[in-house]
Amino acid sequence: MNDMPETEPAAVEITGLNKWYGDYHALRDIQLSVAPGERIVICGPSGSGKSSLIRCINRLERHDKGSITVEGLELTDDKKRIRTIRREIGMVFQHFNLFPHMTILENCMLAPMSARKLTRPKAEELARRFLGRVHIPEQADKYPGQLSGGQQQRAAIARALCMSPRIMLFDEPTSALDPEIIKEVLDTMIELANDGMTMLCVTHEMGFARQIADRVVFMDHGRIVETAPPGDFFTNPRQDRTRLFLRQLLH
Amino acid sequence: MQFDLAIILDNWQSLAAGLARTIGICAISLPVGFLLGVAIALLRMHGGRLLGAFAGAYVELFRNIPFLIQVFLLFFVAPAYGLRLSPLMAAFVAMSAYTSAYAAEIMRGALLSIPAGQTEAGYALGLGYPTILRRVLLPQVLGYILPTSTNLTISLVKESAILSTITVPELTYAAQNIVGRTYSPVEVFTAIALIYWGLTALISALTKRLEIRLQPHLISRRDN
Ligand SMILES: Nc1ncnc2c1ncn2[C@@H]1O[C@H](COP(=O)(O)OP(=O)(O)OP(=O)(O)O)[C@@H](O)[C@H]1O
Ligand SMILES: [Mg+2]
Repeated sequence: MNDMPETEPAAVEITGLNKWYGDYHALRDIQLSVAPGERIVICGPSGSGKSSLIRCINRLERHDKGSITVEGLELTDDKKRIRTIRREIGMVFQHFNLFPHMTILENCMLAPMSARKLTRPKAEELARRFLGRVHIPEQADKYPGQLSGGQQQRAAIARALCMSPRIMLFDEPTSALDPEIIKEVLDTMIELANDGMTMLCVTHEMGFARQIADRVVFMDHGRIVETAPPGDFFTNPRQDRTRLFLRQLLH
Repeated sequence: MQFDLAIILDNWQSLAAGLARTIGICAISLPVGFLLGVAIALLRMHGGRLLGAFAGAYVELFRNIPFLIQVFLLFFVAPAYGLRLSPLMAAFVAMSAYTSAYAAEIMRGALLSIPAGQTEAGYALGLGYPTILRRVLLPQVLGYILPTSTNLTISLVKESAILSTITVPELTYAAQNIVGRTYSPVEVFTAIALIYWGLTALISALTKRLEIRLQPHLISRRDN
């Protein structure tokens, strides 16, 4: 390791990543470097490995070959290191995964109090601040089951933000939502992007990708087929496979 | 045939002492068994291949042998291998072990019923498994565990009558003693049948109230 790195370390540096589920080769030789503050949109057909890829970044899945480095720290089997890395990474799921037996406020306070050892008043202040930021401060004392899907997803975003992550992962955050609600969640994500958050989003919301992505990554059969800025990606894709995918997406 | 209430009234102290013993044995071995059951369930789910297999075998063993035979094994056979227990000690051990096997299965079923996303969300937030278990999973399975555990508790209270065969002075043993002295099986066995029924009915009623108190998120959803 160099004492004085010439450049800031990448937020996420993935090299030669391979993953198998039993015999099934789900990720093949993935190479991806994400700079701090960069916004990456990942798309591709169902089963192409998008979820597997971002779930490897916070060790919800264990990779089999290659290396993943988060802010200079390599992911190994070391439990303490895994937890350190997880605290730097927020994740938002397709089905929200809020804790149904806790109020929205308690959902947001659990990790700051338990993992960051914040006092209750401090954690509550933090939680209310982020619930305000995702525009649902009035929902704080309700249970997840009492909120609309869009409100639940924004609560889930607030819950992740309460851990002050440096990187946010989104796995199809709007796929489970009704079309008229999708916008409120995307707007929240756009605000987050404009605040400079490093983001990796699996999504098929191409308008969103155009608006905030620095790069779009297209995956197929466990490989990254093409990586390009959204302008090039949508208007001038290099690979036939990408063109076919975009055509299908439009229909 | 005539029912002589005097026999019950004359012997109420022995019956009360027997009932107290039955309650005492259950009140200690049921919680111990449940805690042990949680540990067995976690071992089975997260203990790796070897410990998981051990936990699985443990559950099978206690579930597949009649409780009466387990009690006999512990009280009559174990001494041949150097494990000598008093009737009361044997009662605690047998009841706890038997409870733990069933509690482990209830617990495992309950934990498996929770979507994996709950645990994943906990991990993604940087929480460790013990915290996830305590703050996320267990509170959610209470609603599932409580009714099934009530059933288990009730059958164990009933099974405890078997302890009379190894001279544990619980309710059934006390009743048999009274019958031996008074030759009035009708009155005495009718009486303890009613006492067992009253005891299990009380347990049902208490846990029903607990169920309602422990599930605020389900209640408030109904209110709104
Ligand atoms: N836990 C698992 N066990 C076995 N196979 C799995 C597992 N998770 C994913 N897979 C398989 O790996 C492949 C990639 O899955 P992944 O969920 O990463 O795809 P995806 O691109 O996110 O798809 P989708 O758009 O449907 O969410 C799929 O074929 C899937 O069936
Ligand atoms: Mg997916």
